[in-house]
Amino acid sequence: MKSTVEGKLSSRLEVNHEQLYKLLGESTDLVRKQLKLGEHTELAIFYIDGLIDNQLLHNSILYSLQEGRTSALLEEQDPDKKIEILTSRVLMAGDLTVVQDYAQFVHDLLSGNVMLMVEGTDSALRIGLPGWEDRGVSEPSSQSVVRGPMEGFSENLRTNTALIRRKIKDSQLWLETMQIGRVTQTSVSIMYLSHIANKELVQEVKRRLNSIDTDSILESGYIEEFIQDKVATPFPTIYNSDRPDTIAAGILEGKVAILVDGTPFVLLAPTVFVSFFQSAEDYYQRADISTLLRFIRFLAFFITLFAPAFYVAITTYHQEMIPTNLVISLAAQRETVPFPTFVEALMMELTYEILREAGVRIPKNVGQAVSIVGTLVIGQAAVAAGFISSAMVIIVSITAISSFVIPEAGMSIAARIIRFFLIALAGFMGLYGILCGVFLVVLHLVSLRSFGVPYMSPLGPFRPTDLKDSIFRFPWPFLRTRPQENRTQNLHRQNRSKRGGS
Amino acid sequence: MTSRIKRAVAVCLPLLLVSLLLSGCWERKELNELAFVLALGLDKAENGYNVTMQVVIPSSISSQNAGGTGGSGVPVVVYNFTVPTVYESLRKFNLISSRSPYLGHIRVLVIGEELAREGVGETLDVIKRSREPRMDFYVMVARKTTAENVLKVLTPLDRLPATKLFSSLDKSYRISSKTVAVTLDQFIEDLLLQGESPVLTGVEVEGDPEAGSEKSNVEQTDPRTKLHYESVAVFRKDKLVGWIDDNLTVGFNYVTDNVTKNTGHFKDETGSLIIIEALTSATSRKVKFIDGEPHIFLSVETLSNVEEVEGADKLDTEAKIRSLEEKTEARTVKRMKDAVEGISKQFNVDIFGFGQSIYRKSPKAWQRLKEQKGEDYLRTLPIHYEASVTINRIGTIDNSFLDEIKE
Repeated sequence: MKSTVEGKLSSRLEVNHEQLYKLLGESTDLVRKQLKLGEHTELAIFYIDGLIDNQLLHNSILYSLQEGRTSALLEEQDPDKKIEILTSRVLMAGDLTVVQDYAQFVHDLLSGNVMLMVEGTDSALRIGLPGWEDRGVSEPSSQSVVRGPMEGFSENLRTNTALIRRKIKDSQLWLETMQIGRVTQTSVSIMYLSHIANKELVQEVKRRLNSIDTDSILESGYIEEFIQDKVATPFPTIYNSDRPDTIAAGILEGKVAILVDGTPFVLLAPTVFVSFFQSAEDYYQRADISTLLRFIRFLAFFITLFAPAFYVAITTYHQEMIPTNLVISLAAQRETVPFPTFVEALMMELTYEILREAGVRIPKNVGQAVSIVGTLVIGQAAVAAGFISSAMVIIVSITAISSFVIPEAGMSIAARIIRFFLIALAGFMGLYGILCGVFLVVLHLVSLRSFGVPYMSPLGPFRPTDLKDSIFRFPWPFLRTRPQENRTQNLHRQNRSKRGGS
Repeated sequence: MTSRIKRAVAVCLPLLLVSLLLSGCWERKELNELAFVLALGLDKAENGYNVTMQVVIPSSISSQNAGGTGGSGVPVVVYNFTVPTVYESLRKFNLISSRSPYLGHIRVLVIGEELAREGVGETLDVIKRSREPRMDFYVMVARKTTAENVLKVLTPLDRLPATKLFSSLDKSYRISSKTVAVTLDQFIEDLLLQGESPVLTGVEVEGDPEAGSEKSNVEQTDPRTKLHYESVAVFRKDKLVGWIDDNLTVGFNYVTDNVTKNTGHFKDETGSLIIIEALTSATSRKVKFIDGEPHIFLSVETLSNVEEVEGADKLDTEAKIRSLEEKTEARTVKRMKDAVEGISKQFNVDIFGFGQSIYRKSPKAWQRLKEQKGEDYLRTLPIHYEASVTINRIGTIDNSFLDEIKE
C-alpha cells in the first residue's frame, strides 16, 4: 500500500477527494462531509464510518464549527492560518495534529481518525475520535482462577495498556508502539519497567520486532512465531496470557510485555519452562497450598506425557514388573481385544484427540449430543464389545484430564505431541525406548533459549535461590529477589521486612 | 571441507539411531498371548523330571466378564510334562497350549519330597539362570506326596491356589513362626554359604488330591481336600534329610532371629494355662573366643502380651507380671536349647548358620574348627542362651472374671 501512496496533499480539495476515491476504490464506508463557513471558507471532513465515534463528531466537532463566531474568525485569514485557528481556538478536541504527508493522511483515516481539510491549504487536520464497537473488559477465558482479579484483556490495544497501567502506577513503566504488517498496519506495543528490565533485552525485543517483514499481523501468535529463538520445537518459548495481573507480574520481574492490537493475548518474554506451571492464583493463595498445587501440576504433566507410553511398555515388554494380581486382571481385560496394546493405545489417543478437536469446533447446541456419543460409544460400547480394554480407557482418561491441569495451553500442546512420539518408542523398545525418548526431550529442552535465557533455568543452570519461586512458592516475605535469569538491573524486590503480627 | 565433513556426520548420526529400531519388538509379548505360570512343581520321574505348571486362566478370575460374581469355571489349569530336563517342559508347553509359558510371575516353587531327598542342586540351575522369573517366590517341599498333587488342589477364598500357598506361608511365618518362608535366592544362598544348611517348609495335601482338583472342592463349606503347611524340611547340602516339628521350628526361628510373632503357654500354680504372645522379638548373635575356642552367645529380647488366662490368676501386681516374664524367659531359652540340641542330635546339620557366623568373625577359626571336628562341630559347640522378656499389656481386663462367676 505504501508504494501506491506517495507525495504531499494537494491544496485543492477536489483533487484530494478524487485521489482518495481512486485509492480506496470508492469504498462505501468512506464518508465525506462538505461544509461552508461564511463566504470564503470551504471545509471537508473525511472519515471511515464505523471506526469513529459519531456522537462525538456531531456534538463536538460539527457543533463548534457551525457556531456563529467561527465563520467570523475564519473570514479574513489566509488558508494556512485557518488551520491554526481551528486547532487552537475552535475545535474542542484533545487529540489534534496537522498532517501534510499523503501516506500519513491515509493511514490516519483508516485508523479511526476524522480528517479535516480546508480549501486552499495543503495541510489536513487529524482529529482523534476513535470509537468502534468493542467487547469491553470481561472475564479471562483461558486461565480462570477462583481467587484473584476477574478482568481480562480485550481486543483493544488502548484498553489493554490501560489495564496494565492501572496495576503498575510507576513513571518508569514505559510503553513503545510500532506498526507491523505492510497491509494490516497493526499496532504493536511493548511495555517494560525501564529501571528493572535488562536494557539489552529491550533492545533485542525491539530489534526482532522491527525485523518482521510481513503483510499481516492478525494475532500475537504471528509475532510469537516471528520472534521466537527456535522454530523447530514443540515447546513454547514465549509466554502468553489474557490476564493483566499475570502480565503485570511478568513486567515486575523484568520481562517485556508485547501487546498486539486486536487480540486479548499478550506475550511475555523471556520465558522459562517452569513458568508454564505457575498460575496467577499461586500468588494469591497461601504459599503451602500453592507449592502443593505446583507439585501436582508437574505430576500431571508427567502423567499426561508418560501414562500411555508407560502402559504400553510395561504390558508388552515388562510383564514381570506388574504385581501378579494386577497382571492377571489386565490379561483378563485383554482376552478379547483383537489389537496389540500399541495399536490400542494409538487408536484411543487418536479418538480422544478427535473428540477434543470436535468439542472445540462444535456449535454449543449440538455439543451435548456429541459428548454422549463420545463417552458412550467410544468409552463404554468399545469396552463392552471387547475392542478396547477398560484399563486403556482409564489410562486415556487420566491422560486427558491431566493435560488440563497445566495452566498454560501451550505446554499441554507440547505434551500431546511428545506423547505420541513416546508411545511409538514404547511400542518399539519398551521402557528402554521411553528412556531414549526422555533423553532426546531433555537434551532438546536444555538446548532451548528464550531471548538468551536458558529455558530450563533455574533447574539447568541450577540456581538454588531461584527455586523459591519456581517449583516451590515461598511465602511473600521470603521472595526478596527477582529471578536472576532475567538479568534485571535491580534484583531486589523488597527489603527484609518486619512482618506483622509479632 | 570441515563443514562438509560435519554435515556428513550430522546426516549419518540420525541414521545410526535408526539402527536401534532393528532390535525393536523382538521381545514384545501381548498379555493375551502369555500363559502366566503361577506355580511350578518339580517331581522325580523315572527318567528325568515330572514338571507341573499351574497356569492362571485370566478370564475366569476377572469380575469383568462374569458380572461381578468372580467368574465361572476353574481358575487355573495344571499342565504336566514328563521330560528329561526342566527346560524341555517349556518347549513342550505349546504342544498342548495356545499360549507360551511366562515365568515372570511364579509365586511358589513346590519340590516333591522324593526329588528333594535325591538332591535339587542341578535342577534349580535352570530357574536361577532364566531371566524371566523374579527370585522373590517361595520354595517349599511337598511332604509325603508329589508336587503335582499339591498343585492340582483347588482352594476356596483365594481362588488361585498359588496365591493361597504364597500368602498363607507369608502370614503363617509372620504370625506363628511355625514355618519358614524361604525364597529361591535365599535357598541357593544357604546352599553356597559355609557352615549353613537350608530349610524349607513342607506342604501337605489333606484328603484326596484327585477330588481336590474338581471344582466341587471349593463349593463346600468344608472342602474335601485341603492344603496345609506341616513341618520343616532340613537339608544337608541340597538333599533333604528329615523333618522337624512345630516346636523345633519355633526354637529355630528364635535362634535365627526370624520370629515376629509367636504364642506360647505354661501352667500356673493351679495347673491352668496362661498364654503369652510375643509381639516383636529380636535375637542378637555374638561369637566370642574363650581360650581360643569359639562360643556362641544368643540373646533374645521380646515384647509380649498376655492373651489368655484360663485360671483365676490375679494379674494386678507387678510381682505377678515379673514372675510371668521370668517364666517366659525360661521357656524361650528352653525352646532354643531344645531346637539346637534336638537338631544336632537328630540330623547333625547346622541349619542355624553358627558355622557361618564363626566364619564371618574369623575365617581362620572356622578353618581350624572344621579341621578339628569336621562335620560334627555342632554337637560340641558351646552355646550360651539369654532371654529378656517384657510384658507390655495384659489386655482389656486385669484379673480373670472366673472367681466372680456366680455359684
